[in-house]
Amino acid sequence: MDEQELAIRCARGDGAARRELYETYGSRLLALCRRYASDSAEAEDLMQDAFVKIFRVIGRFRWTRPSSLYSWMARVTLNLAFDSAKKRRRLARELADVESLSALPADEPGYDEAASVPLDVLQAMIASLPEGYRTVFNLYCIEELSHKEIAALLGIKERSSSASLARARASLARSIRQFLNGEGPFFVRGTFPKMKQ
Amino acid sequence: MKHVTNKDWTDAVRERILSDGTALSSAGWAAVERRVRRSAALRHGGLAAAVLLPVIALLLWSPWRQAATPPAAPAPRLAESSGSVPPEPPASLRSGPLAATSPSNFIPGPASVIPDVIGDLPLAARPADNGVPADMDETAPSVAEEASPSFSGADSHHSPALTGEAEEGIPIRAWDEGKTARQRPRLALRVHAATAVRGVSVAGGMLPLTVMKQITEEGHWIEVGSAVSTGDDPSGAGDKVMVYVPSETKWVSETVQTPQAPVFPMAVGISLDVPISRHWALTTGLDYCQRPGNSVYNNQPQSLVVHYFGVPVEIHCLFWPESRFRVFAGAGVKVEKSLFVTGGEPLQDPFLFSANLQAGADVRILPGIRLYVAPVLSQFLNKSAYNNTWDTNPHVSLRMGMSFEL
Repeated sequence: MDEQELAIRCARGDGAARRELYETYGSRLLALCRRYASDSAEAEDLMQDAFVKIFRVIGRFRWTRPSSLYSWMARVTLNLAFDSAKKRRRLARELADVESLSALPADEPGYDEAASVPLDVLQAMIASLPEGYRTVFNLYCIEELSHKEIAALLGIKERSSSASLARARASLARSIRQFLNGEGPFFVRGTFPKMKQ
Repeated sequence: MKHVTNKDWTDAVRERILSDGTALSSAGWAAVERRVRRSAALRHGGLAAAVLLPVIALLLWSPWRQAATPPAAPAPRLAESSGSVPPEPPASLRSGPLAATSPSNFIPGPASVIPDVIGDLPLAARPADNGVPADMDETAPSVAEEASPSFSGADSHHSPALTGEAEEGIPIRAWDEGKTARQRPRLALRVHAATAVRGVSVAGGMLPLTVMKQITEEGHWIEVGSAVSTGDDPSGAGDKVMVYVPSETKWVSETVQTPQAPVFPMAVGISLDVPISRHWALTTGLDYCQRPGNSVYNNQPQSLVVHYFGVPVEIHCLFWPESRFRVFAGAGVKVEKSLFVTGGEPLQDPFLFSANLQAGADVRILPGIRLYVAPVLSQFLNKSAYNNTWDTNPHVSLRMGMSFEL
């Protein structure tokens, strides 16, 4: 069943189509929820809430290109994840505290160097960023939202979003560089091979 | 989401992060399904409340309820029918609380003729049993005395309400003149919950479905006999003769146990009771209900929720029709049509006919508003295209609702 037909049948309330939608996209949406939830239980909860909302509003989805269904579902989920005013205020407050992350320029790694870092190390590096910076980094680099979209989603200014991204990138680049040099908190000697080439 | 990144190290990070598959928990879909159902129920409940509350409010505080003015019509009729004009009360009486009421609205007669609004008057000004204000009995006996002969006049049968002969035949509102309280139609808003008497449980359970299955039999050799000696070469005699049967594809029917859609069979409806006598009333209306039903579509069993709209026609017998607490019994028929299904593809479903018996009770909670409950025993008279336990077994449902007197 292609995306369009799946969406139409879900909008009609077809239980089998809904299940197929869940099984096709559930795993990716759960991964997305984990990036913005504080723990796995909250992520699971968020994903279930997202599916309830998706099933309710899927009649409004308009197919434009391949994979637009997932993009739309991701957007619904992100809106749900950040629709709490309390959460948005906390993130905005954290991003206003510019001292929490160094703005010093970093020696950024290349594509291949970054690709050689083990996944769990990368995840640990991203998780170590302050929540606001981590959120902006994930939204821009992983979800590929523009600064305008991030600003609208988080209730911050576009300039604040781009400044936060620069600091998050610099911090992450430093961590990757340190790891590649066999240094820093993410490198445990003997656990990971030295990646420096 | 239209920004384009250069192929830099963050792309590598993105690819690594997105490559990480997250396994869904086995109970995840059940939880989502449960939440979807709950959310839909809440939404529908909210919608129903949003529709019903204004109706209830309108019925409770409707203008005709508020404007319970004394009926003006009976007085002139009294004058015409008796041929005598009752004298106006003395001017001294008109200075009392009833002075605002015009003489033509002053109605000597049974207490129940006097509208409810009089209950708000001071005690001294309230009418006595003969319809005359208490403080008028002594000061102006002529009013009652002169009016009373007209009640027993030759034409008094034209207005039995004024004679007090019929205890129930008393109009209460101007627009309702001539209709008794029991003759007014009652608008009943109903909510039903249904459950099966026997068979499978209401939410869940398995039902057998016959599906056609395509099977392919592998090609094989079969023995058809033994070879016999032919002429000069007897060596092959007695050998088995085998024939190769090529592979064959055929359809066979198979019975599969299919779960019923986990939906609570629920019905809501609106109906109108039309009294035909003191104890009997006809009821009709429009019902919506959802029931689980299974079917086979493209040789695949499917569990559906079938949504029906139906029109019931019932007759009810009311016991103690005027009391606060009433008991009733009834019987009727209902015709239903499935208009749409959820969870699969619809089938051509015929009109479904069912007969029912019921007994119940209602209680008046506010003037003109009653709550009722009635267990109903129903039996379908024909079978649905969807496989279910409802049209094969008699089932009991519980009707609960509220009725409003129009």
